[in-house]
Amino acid sequence: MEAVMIVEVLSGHHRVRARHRFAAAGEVACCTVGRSVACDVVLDDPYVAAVHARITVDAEGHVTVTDLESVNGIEVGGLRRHGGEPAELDGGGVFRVGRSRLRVRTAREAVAPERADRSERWSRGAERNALAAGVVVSIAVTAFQVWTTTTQPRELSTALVTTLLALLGLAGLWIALWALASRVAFGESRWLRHATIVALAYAASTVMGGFLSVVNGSLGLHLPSAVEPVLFGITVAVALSAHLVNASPMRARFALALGVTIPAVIIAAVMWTQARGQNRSPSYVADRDHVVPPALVMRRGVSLERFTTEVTDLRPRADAKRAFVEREDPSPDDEDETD
Amino acid sequence: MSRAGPPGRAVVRGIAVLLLGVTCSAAQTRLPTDETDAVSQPVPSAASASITARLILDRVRPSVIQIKGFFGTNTAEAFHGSGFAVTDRGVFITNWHVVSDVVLYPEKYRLEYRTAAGKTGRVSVRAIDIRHDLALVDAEGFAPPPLRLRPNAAIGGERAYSVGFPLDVGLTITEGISNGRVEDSFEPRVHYSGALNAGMSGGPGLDGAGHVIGVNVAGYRASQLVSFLVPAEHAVRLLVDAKKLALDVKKARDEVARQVRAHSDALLAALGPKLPTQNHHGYELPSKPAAFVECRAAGDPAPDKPISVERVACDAKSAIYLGRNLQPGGLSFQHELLSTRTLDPWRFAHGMQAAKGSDDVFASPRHLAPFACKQKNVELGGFTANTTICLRAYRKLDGIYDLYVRVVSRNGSRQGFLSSLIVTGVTPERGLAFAQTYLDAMQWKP
Repeated sequence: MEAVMIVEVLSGHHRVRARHRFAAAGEVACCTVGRSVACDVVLDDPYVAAVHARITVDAEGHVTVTDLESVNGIEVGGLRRHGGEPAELDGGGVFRVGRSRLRVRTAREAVAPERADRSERWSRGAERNALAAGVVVSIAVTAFQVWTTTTQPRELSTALVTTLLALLGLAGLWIALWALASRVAFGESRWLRHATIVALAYAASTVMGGFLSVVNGSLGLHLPSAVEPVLFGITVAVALSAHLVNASPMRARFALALGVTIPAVIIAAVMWTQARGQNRSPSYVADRDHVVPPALVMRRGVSLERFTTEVTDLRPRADAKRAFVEREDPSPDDEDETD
Repeated sequence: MSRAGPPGRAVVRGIAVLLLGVTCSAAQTRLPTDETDAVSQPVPSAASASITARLILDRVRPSVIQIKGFFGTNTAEAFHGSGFAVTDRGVFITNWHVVSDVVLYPEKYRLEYRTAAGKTGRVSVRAIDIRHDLALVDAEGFAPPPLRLRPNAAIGGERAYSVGFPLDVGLTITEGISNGRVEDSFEPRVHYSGALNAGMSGGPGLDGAGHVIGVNVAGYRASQLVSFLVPAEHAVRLLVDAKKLALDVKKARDEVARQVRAHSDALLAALGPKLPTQNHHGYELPSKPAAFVECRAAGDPAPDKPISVERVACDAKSAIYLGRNLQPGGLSFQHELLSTRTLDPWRFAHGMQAAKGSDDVFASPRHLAPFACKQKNVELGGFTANTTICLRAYRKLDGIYDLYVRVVSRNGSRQGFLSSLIVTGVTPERGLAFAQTYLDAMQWKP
């Protein structure tokens, strides 16, 4: 029987910096850890003694670590130990020497089955296509919006160039930040992934906004004013979760929770503030209908007679609002410019 | 301690009083030289007129009081106006807007009078006529001979005088010309071409014989010598009504709301059941509905604008003063007509949407509750229009509301309009009925 172990020196992000293999034909394999060249595993750590600790593994794969009278000792399972007694390492096999972290792997370790690699076959290709589609739709929708708001050719070209440049700059900055985070977390930038997320999220939110206003105008649907921010929030939540999964070592479940919580809190706060605000103009309170070209108006209006009978409920509603402000806001201050 | 006030301010005030005193005495001393000039360059009527003014001032002096308002227990005044005796038992007439704070906030304000001779005492409100901006008050312990009222008497071209206490400089008479009844005003008014300044409100407007033809009410600050009097017959009517209708201080707000309602009812009734219209780019839209409604139209003269805009705005100028930020009883509407020759329907629709955002009604949250609204596409006379009707309640006055209507045409791909109407201080039934009248008048007649 052979005693085998692999001692890995880990970086701050749990990445393996160096790997040493020790094997002995007998019952026990062992190695020493320290700064001295005499050690089997040499660490460049000023908090480590010349010969700091000894790691032993038996044929069953039980690992023990012994401190060799160092000043700082060793830290196993969160406990700091000094001298003498060998400490047994548990399943994870991670312990600290000075400020360095080591992991010991043995034959006992269960190895996860091989993962099938599909990335080459379709994932990257699909990602590229998605990115291209997202960019094309985003640019098209933005260009259409710019065209809608301008009336002169010169104005159009200027607005188009400045808007697209601004958009490109902001998106580039955003992607670069996430790529940096990915690089810190995983050692790879994942440019393509983050660019795809941004492009798809932007395309989705602009298409949705435009679609909502056209549907609203042509069908006369009085969607509640919360619909648009909520849909926008969902898009942001999906995008943020995807970014987090790809740029931090946190589990997908946590990334999703965080990705949903952040936009939900921000949008809820904004909506709450707006609801509390004193903006009482009818176009703010009531106007949810967009003007669309007459050709797009799909639904005939109600008759004036019907509308005037429907508005008789305005009195109780106005009274209810009066009762509400009398209760909630009994003595507000007037701003001087009001009238 | 706080009552004494900062010494710096007292000094400034002292200098101000001195300056005023100097200007007044300078004016008095300069007057005779003017008259000698007048003699050398013959303008005889000026001399006789100033004698009349002196006689009138001597005659009305005992009957005119300054009415001062105080906030809380302060001895420094908050506001002031004028008043004059109309019965021999110490009943005076003044403007509603002089006493409005005391009626609406009796626990915060109090009134006192001061005669030209310096006698002072308490003043209490006996009856109010908000619509005509009049009030009857009792002056405790002061009952001078009343001035004679001369109803139905404003003749254009007649010499007229106005007496009061402007800017706290003491009893003053101004001289001018009565231009008779104002034709285009919802509230009956006599146009007085003479000076009326702050503090003269509630004082008498008199004819050459010293009879009261009206009560000083307002002047245009930006204009010169365009002032208004409330015709004397309204004072007579208030005097008659006051005998059966004394103002109950505890229910004063109900009375104020009732009078605002009556005013708005009268205003809407005066506009009739059907509104006249004018055709703008194919749309028949409500136009000047009565002589007292002032309408203005304007547009951008630049011919090459992608969207050309015309605006017509009408205002009944009928709002009544209840306080700062609180002036119900008004009616105004405006149309904004947009048309294009070069733009496609999509961008024109966007222009309409953008124009919609600029038309807003704000209001004092202290006095008004938020709007309750209903928005729908409605089939009007031959076209579809997006219509919003809103109603909001007054917080401290029962039974009166503001009505807001907005119409955005939905039928034109190269022309359209936005129209808005606001009627303030109206009952919901009357307001909504008028909204229907307003919408009924709109038609598509290319």
